[in-house]
Amino acid sequence: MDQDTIRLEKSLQDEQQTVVFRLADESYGIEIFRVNEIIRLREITPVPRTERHVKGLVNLRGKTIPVIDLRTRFALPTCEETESSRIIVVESESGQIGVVVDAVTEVLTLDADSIEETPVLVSDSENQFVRAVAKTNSKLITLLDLDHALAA
Amino acid sequence: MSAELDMSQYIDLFLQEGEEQIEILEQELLKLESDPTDERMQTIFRAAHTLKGSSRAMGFSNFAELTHEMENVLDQLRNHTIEVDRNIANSLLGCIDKLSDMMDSIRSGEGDKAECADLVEALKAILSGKVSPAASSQVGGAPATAAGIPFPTQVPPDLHDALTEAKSQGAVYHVQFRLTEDCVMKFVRAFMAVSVAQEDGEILACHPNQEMLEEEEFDRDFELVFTNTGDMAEIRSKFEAIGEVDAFVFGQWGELTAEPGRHLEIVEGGAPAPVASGTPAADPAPAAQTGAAASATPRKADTGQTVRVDVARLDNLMNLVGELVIDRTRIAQIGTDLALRYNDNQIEDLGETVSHIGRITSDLQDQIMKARMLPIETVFNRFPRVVRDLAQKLGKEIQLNLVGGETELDRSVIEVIGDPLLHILRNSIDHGVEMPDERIAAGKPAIGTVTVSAKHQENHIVIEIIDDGKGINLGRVKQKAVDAGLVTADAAAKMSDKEALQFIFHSGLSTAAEVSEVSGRGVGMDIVRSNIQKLGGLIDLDTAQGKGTRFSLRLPLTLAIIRGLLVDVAKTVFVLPLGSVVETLLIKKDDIQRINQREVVVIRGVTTPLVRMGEVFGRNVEQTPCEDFYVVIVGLAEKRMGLIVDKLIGEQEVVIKSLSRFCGDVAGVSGATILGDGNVALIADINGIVMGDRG
Repeated sequence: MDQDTIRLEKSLQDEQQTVVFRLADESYGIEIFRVNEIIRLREITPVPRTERHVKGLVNLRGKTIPVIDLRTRFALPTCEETESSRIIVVESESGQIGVVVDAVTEVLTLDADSIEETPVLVSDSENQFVRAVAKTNSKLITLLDLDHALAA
Repeated sequence: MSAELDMSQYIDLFLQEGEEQIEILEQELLKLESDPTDERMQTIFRAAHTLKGSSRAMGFSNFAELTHEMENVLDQLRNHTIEVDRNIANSLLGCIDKLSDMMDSIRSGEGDKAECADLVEALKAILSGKVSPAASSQVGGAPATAAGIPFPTQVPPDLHDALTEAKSQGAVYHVQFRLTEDCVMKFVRAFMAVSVAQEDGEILACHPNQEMLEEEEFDRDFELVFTNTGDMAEIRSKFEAIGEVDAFVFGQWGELTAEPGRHLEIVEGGAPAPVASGTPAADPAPAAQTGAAASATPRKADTGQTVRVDVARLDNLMNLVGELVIDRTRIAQIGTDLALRYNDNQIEDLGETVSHIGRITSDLQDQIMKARMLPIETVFNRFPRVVRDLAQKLGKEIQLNLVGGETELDRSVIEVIGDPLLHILRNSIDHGVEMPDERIAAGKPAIGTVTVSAKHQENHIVIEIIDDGKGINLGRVKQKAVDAGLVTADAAAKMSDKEALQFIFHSGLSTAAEVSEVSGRGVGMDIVRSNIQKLGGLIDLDTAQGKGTRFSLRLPLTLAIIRGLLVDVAKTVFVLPLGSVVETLLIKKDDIQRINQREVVVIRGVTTPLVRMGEVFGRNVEQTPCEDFYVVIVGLAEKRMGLIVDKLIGEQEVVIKSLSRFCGDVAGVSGATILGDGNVALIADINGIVMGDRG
């Protein structure tokens, strides 16, 4: 499905496809049209004197792209990388950026009814990266405001 | 004369640069209204400043005047003397539209003819605090093409026959021009007219004769008779496009009436053969169609030998070769790994093939690099005009020497060094060289000398700008630095001359007592340095009080690929540009001494400060006590510094990739590259490391 189709669907407010990934014990979602690809973890070259959450640069087919650690970004405890760790490559204002997550779980189609604005209770400054919350039958998925989360 | 003709070659360059700058101006100005930051203001100011400089260099005085007025307003905005509001923004945007219009008319060969008095008024009103009406932009009218100029010409009888003969074979046209009274480059206008006439035809006769046209030995009038296979209306519109023309008359030969007292002169080889041969009226003077004619119609033999290629394509090729270089290194490494693991004939074959590919890639790279090379002349040739105009304006006498114009370097570098060099040159002439009487009083010849030279040195090009002026007054530089709050008076007093000179490159610091049109806004030298550094180059200067100043620039030949020394620092590979590496040493722990709590090592009698790379990059993981240290001595101008690294890996060619915008500017890192093993390595910015180590 191409991006236009997805945007169209989004504009219709019927449903939207979301890439769901795990970070610590929580599920997060990114709109699928922001995701370029998902790659396995590979050697990351640290860049000195950058923000703590910038893990470094990786080689993506001859291009060097920066990778950020969402755990550090969200002030979650750091953990060892595992077999299921992945880098989600997303398109941002400053080009492609890789985002390290614990695991990519699924791609969900969420309909507008299941999406709610962030409850006031959790909507403090810590949660400026949250765009909305989606409820599925089994769990809550935090939908990220990617531009905020990636802003340097 | 020939310098002025040469300018036409650089119009393309000017247009290209100018459009970029205008675009920056427009975009940033639009953003400025909603988000006025100092940084943005600085960008806008620089763009206007660059436009002013390059348009003046090209001799577009209207353009330069408008940008100068804009710059005045921008300067006030930058200093917060006035604040940006809708009115000011409208006026400035109006100016930008006008600049774009001028670019268009320059492109079409009309020069920067445009009426911008109202815009200038609006800008001046802003400066004087009056409310400015939103300025409108209007292109000045095209030159009038009023008929009936009283200067048609009498034709000698033999020529008349020749022309009648020619007319029987095809259309013969007659055009008469009268230039405006203030036309600056009459020759150029004549040259343009000649080019139009010759485009699809041949000039049969002209008045005055061709030599006089070239030498500009005519008042305001000239005329041409020519054959042409082109469409008459089209030719007319091309003539109309020639700027600074008061009027012109254009028609079929014989339609225009003759006036006694003038006669047309036959262009040799132009008139049809039967009459031209043995005709006493044939003027022997213009033996060769030199100058204007020759450059207007490129010799046919040349076409087919060269191909014009879009620069973007060359860039693309360069990138692809870059990828190839990476993969070659990668395959070579895989081959080596395989050879260690298996003992097989086929792997030997692989090794041979890899090394063959290696040679081909190197050749390919060389060839593409060469295809992108241009002689630095293309930059140098802009200078004589600038120097002449500037010297005249300032009342100084200056002899400009250009040396080594044939030195070739990559197009990407050529494109960006023009402006920095021009800035330095202007500075040398404005601040360096003294007035003739001062020079005589100081026992120097009245004529000042400025030399710009270029030469290859290893894998670099070294450009020097030397003047024999009064030198830089260090006391004054220090005083300015103190006034600007850059340094305390105490520290300034202790500073070495070399250190104090560095303030020259500081933004907002100008030692010129008055702001002149030429320089002295303190905007030039900081741009110069940042541009040079962006290129991975070095800039240095020496000055001797009363004797002169020398700027020297050291630039890489290309920006795409560098040779680097790979070193290991805290288990990360860094690339040190080989151009900055002086030597590598293995020193003993006992060799390290301390001065002022700084680690130093004495190498052949020279005390060299040491820097632990691990500490510079804040990754001081484990400091295993060891006896031996690898030290890479790097040099920046005269400054030497030893970088302590964990391991030396080797020398390699690396393709420079920029750090992502996301990472921004990282001090001490100039870029990234991909190594043979597919991993990313950072390219160290020696300049940043050395400069960052002042403390």
